[in-house]
Amino acid sequence: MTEDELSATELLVRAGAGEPSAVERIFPLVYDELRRLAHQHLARESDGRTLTTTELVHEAYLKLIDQTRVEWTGRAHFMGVAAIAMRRILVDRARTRQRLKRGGTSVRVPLEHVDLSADERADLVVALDEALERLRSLDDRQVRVVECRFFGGMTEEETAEALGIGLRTAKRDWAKARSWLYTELYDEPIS
Amino acid sequence: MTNRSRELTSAERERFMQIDGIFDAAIDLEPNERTEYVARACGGDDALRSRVQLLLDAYDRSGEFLGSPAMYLAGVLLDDQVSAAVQAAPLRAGPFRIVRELGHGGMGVVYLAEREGAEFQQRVALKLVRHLGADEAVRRRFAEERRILALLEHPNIAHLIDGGLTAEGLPYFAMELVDGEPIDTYCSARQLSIDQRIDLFIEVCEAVQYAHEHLVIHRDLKPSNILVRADGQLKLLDFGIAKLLDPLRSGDEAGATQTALMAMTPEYAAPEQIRGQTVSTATDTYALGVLLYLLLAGRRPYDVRGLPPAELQHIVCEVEPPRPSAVAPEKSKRALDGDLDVIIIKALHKDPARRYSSASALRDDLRCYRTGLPVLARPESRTYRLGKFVRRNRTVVSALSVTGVALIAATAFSATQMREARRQRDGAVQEAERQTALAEVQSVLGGDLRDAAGKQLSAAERIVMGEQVLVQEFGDKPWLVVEGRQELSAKLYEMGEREGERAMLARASTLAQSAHLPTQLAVAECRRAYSLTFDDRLDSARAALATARAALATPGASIPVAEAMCVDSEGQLLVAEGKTDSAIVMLRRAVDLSQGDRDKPFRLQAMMDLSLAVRAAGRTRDAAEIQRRVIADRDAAGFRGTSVMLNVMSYIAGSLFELGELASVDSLTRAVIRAQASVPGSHSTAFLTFAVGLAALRSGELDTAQVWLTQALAVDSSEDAGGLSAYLPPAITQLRLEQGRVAEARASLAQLPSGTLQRRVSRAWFTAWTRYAEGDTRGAITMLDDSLRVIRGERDTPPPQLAVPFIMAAEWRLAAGDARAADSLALIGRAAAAIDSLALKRSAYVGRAELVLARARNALGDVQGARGAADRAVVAMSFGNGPTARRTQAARGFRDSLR
Repeated sequence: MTEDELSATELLVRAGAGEPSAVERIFPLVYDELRRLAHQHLARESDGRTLTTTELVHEAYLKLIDQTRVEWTGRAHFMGVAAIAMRRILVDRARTRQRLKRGGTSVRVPLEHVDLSADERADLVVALDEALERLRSLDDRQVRVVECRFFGGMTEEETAEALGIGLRTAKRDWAKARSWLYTELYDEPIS
Repeated sequence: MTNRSRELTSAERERFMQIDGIFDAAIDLEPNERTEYVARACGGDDALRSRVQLLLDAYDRSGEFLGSPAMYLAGVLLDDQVSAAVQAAPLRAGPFRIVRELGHGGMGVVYLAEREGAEFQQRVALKLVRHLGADEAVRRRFAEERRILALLEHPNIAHLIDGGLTAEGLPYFAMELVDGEPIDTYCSARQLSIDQRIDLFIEVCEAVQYAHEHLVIHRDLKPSNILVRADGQLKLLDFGIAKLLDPLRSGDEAGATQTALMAMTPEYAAPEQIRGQTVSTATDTYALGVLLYLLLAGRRPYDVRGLPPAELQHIVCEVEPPRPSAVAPEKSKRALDGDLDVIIIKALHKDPARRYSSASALRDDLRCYRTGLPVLARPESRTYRLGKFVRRNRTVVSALSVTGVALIAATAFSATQMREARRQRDGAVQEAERQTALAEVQSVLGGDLRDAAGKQLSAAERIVMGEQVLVQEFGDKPWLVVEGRQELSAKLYEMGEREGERAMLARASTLAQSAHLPTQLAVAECRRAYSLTFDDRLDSARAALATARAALATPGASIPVAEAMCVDSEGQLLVAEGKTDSAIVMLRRAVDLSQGDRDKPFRLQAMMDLSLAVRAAGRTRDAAEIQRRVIADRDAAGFRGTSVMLNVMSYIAGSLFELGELASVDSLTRAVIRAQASVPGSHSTAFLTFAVGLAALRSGELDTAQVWLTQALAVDSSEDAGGLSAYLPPAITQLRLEQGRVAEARASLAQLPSGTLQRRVSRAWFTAWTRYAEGDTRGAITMLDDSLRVIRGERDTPPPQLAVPFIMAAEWRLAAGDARAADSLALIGRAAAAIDSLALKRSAYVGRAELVLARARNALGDVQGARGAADRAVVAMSFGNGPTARRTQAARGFRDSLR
């Protein structure tokens, strides 16, 4: 535990000092801690909706990071990593659910009653994830903004800080990405 | 084909930047200025303009899209995978939220808990083992209580609702929450008369008798465990120290069991309990006697509270209790003097053999008293009689008499019958009995049974009744009850009632375990695992499989079919875990092992499971081949007319559609429809009708498609399941487009499902198609190209389900005069449709692709190439669409024109 704490803090300090591999190495720590916290919360609450991402991310931060050693920018950095981790956690779970439900086949008529709402949610998360991957090849920054705002539950200001971009850019990217994703999911695809 | 990575070309990226730039500027403008600005910015580039406009529309319409954080949308997905973090007092157990503690004992804690659903809130009493570290004995005891509760379903017994492990790994179960007061205070608070008290007490006897018939001794009957609700409904609870009898024990002590020193309530404890001797159903009769004494005389026969053990033992075991009439209040003395005194004293006899042998015997005597008949109990009587002919459930009796099925008397539980059951365990007799029992169950399931109003009983009612009949008639032969329950669970499975199926199997397991029937225990548990796997509850499935395996390891327990079932369930679990290759190996073994399955149904199940794993591995044709064999064996398997057939058909149709073998879908489905129709009481569901319609539609037989799809639409909307909601709308839209009914097609576009990649492509495809039909050839081609590029951006060859959109794109290009583009698009479509080399000669989609190819090459002046493609088209279509299908004829016509 202390080992993790120290290394996460250490990694964040290094990331702040501009060492890119430090960011990669911190990711699994954040991922595991967030997943653990999410499950712990869910074990106590009646459904996932009452759990806010913001609380979760902040809790993970408090657990993993020795705040006396990390600068304000380091915290923003952490939030950005946490947003990506949240995306991965939810998408992994949605894919698992899809895979288990459908056994990997695609043309199966469900003759039994299934929990449609959870399945539909899983479908949507996966569809969104696929769409984001397509968007990444066009505009990586828009994807990062969506990760922070949607998956990380961050505000416009937090997003701008985490990504080191201006507030106006964060707002515009969010608006554009939402429109683009909307057409991807609900209209005919556009490149 | 060239290898395309996910990376977009610089031209595409440039295009996006262009769109993005215009869009970016446009959103700063007032809505009414945007259109003009966009038109100006795009110059004459219509495709550019339409895409920017699409984004602007989305900008306006997207509203709350992604407005709440992902956790709000998808947090629930994490819910079934809660971490194993240990907490001192969990606030959740499975689907239940714990509200507060109701009470606790050495064994565990009982909480008030609730389950919230969309439209209901269920409050339960939830019992939990307090600590993970609870010792083995406590856990076993807990599991036993749960198993016992699962066995008992009686209106006067608080029933089991659910159970499992909490996220922390603590076992729990939820019971019906009873909001009532103890029977003694209920009676005195309402100043009930002697007769009213007797009537209430008779209900207690009913519940206890029911438990005894299920080989359960309560061992802790006392007022605080017998609650009466405000509406007068009585409930027996707390089977915390109850005992499941072992009906197959050897020796004369069968039906009795050794009591360990245990928690019990001394005032209600029988002499044999105090002495630590064997207890039996008569032990409960004693406690009932104490209770009746209390209810009628107003006090207990002895006051032993706080006495040292030796004294307690002396009083309970040696001292004759005073007659109730001697201690009762003045007003009751006269009523008790006589029959009631005798009845109570008989129930309290020191010698278990001289008490009432069963709760029902006690009850019957009380009824006699109430109706003025002579009672059996006599002060000097040294014999006792077995319980009378029992017809507890009038519904069952009257319903069965309609069919003329004789109801064997469900006599009271007795040692004699258990010995008999043991004697009857040898082969031939056993087999004959099995047949009788199963025939009995079948007659309930399929007979002409009506309720009081003359209405035919529903399938669910029949199953409940079937189980009651089973228990009533064969309750003394646990192995028969176990087999019957398995039979009934299969019925529930067919009905899609998997919760009910598992509950039934759990009851079978419980009985099999207590009756030491390891093979049957294994079968019940692995079938439960199968069902759990299907519902994504993999941890529970693993646990059930472990139980099954352990049972099979018992010497002599392993028989091939049982082994096969377990291997099959294991295979299913592997599929669910994504380990397809191991699953195939495992499932193949299951098929091999089940060769000897007498009635074949299981072998077919194993083959179906194998085929699905094979399909998951991408080997569609092999899967279809296995499924075809299943279909061919259907009559022998007795699956005709059951929903199992529909399930099999839905899978094979899926495989064949993917393979492009539309003619096979048509002939197979029609054959099944005919077979179903010849079985009385079965119906062709929307799915079969839909499959015929879709095959016709894809073959270009529009009139046929119209008939069948319309019918499927009618059936589907009248069926509550609505299983085709994602499949019918696209088919109907496509039909309208093929028919040229463009306005209707456009109107139906909005209803198309979205979400998955395939659905999105379908939407885009049909939208483009509508434009095409409306005359906007160029816009349609651009739109379809865009969506197809998205698919191809992700992989080299598109998935087979998306072959046709590519082929259609080729057809449009060809019609627009671009033969070269048509040629390459047709090649992509053919590659997508060609699942394997055989598909090149058999797939309707391959045929269609070859035909465009032929036309394109002909247009390009490559007559040789055109001939080859046309020949191949005719071959593939003759098989895929059928030799006389319209598309096949068109292909043949074109081929002949090239000669």
